[in-house]
Amino acid sequence: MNRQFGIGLLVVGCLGLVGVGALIDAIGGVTVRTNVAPDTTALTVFDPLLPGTFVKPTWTVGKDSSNKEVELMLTTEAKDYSLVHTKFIFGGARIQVPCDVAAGSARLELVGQQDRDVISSVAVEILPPGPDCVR
Amino acid sequence: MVNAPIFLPVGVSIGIVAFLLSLLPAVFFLWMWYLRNRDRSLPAASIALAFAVGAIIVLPAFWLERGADSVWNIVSPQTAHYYAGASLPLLRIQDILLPAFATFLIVALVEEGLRYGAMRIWMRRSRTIDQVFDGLLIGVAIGLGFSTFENTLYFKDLLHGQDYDTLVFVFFLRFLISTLAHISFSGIMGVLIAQGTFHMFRSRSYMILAFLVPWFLHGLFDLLLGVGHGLYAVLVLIPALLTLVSWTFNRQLFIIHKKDGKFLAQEKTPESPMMHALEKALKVENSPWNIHASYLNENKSYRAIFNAMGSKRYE
Repeated sequence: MNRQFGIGLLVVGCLGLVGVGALIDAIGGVTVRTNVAPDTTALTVFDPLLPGTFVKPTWTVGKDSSNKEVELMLTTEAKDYSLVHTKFIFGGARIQVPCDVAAGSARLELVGQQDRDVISSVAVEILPPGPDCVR
Repeated sequence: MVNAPIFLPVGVSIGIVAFLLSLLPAVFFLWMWYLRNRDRSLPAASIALAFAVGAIIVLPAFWLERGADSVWNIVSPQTAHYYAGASLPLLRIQDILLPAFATFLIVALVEEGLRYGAMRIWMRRSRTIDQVFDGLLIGVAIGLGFSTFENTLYFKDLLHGQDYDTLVFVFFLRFLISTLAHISFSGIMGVLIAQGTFHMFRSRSYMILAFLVPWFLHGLFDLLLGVGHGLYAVLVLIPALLTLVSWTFNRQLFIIHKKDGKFLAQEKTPESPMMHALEKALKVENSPWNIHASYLNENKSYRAIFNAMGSKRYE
């Protein structure tokens, strides 16, 4: 292997790695930690959220069919909103997006009521207040 | 009589397949750094032992990391999810500080700390490691062993969950990113520990750097992946990898410091191909044969140079 070929290979390899990095960012949700139990509870909701409207976030119950009390929280930069209290086993709950929540990025979190542990979370986009808030 | 078919338990079969999958990147990188070289400075047994040491280190590392995770769950269950990475999007300062705490002060500290301990003891006592480049090879092999066993555990979980789509993606991701990261951090550590072992005057500073540099790079790399900035993580990895590649060709690292386990009073430079050719030619020139036909010796000398250099350019 001559020098020029080696340098060329190295440059191509580095560009390939940058491409993989960009791919990781595009796909998202890539974890590197293997020793942590995988997140078996996947929280899903239609995104973006329009303040004032009703939506029903759902979560996978899977093997963990415990009867524990959970709470859905909407976390923003400025404030945390407690949306609803329910039981984990129901696998979903109907919520109304608060009207005073600021537009922008936020997190919807499923929190255990006893320990306040975050069971699952999902990134959401909040839209400016809708007609249900103006009425 | 027909032999009865052998049925392996599902867990064992999955474990074997996962191990074979994770062995592929290891074989590829081992070939790149060691097997394709004709002049191998270390015996294959040392490389195999380093690979095994790297794989064994995964067990205490996982045990310690799981322990830290359990303690965090007890002390502060409301923030324990940060151990697995940040919750996105990043909204508050704790969204970055707590994952940073997990990556720098738990994961990187445990993994690099164990590797550092193993390599430092080995290089101090070894009789076969006599040049800094050997430290690089040992570091790369330990990193490969670590990533192979780690990948096995990762692939096993995915195979067990029959999550084949994710498996394909994760395989290529871990093949490239995770394995290269472990090789780079561990290889840099190996070189710096070897420098510290062989250098008489700046030993302590090399030893401190040998831990701090890989620890910081590992922590930052994991943190960036954890907060969803894979591209920046790769940009941290590339300089480390390029440094390791440049060290692979650095002749200074081939200087021999030890012989039969004892430090040499005067370090020996390794034999270069050119010097080797000249030495061979001179031997021919000094040959007692054909003492009365010097032109024969001359021709033989030229032939010896051409053969020893193995290059067709001079023909």
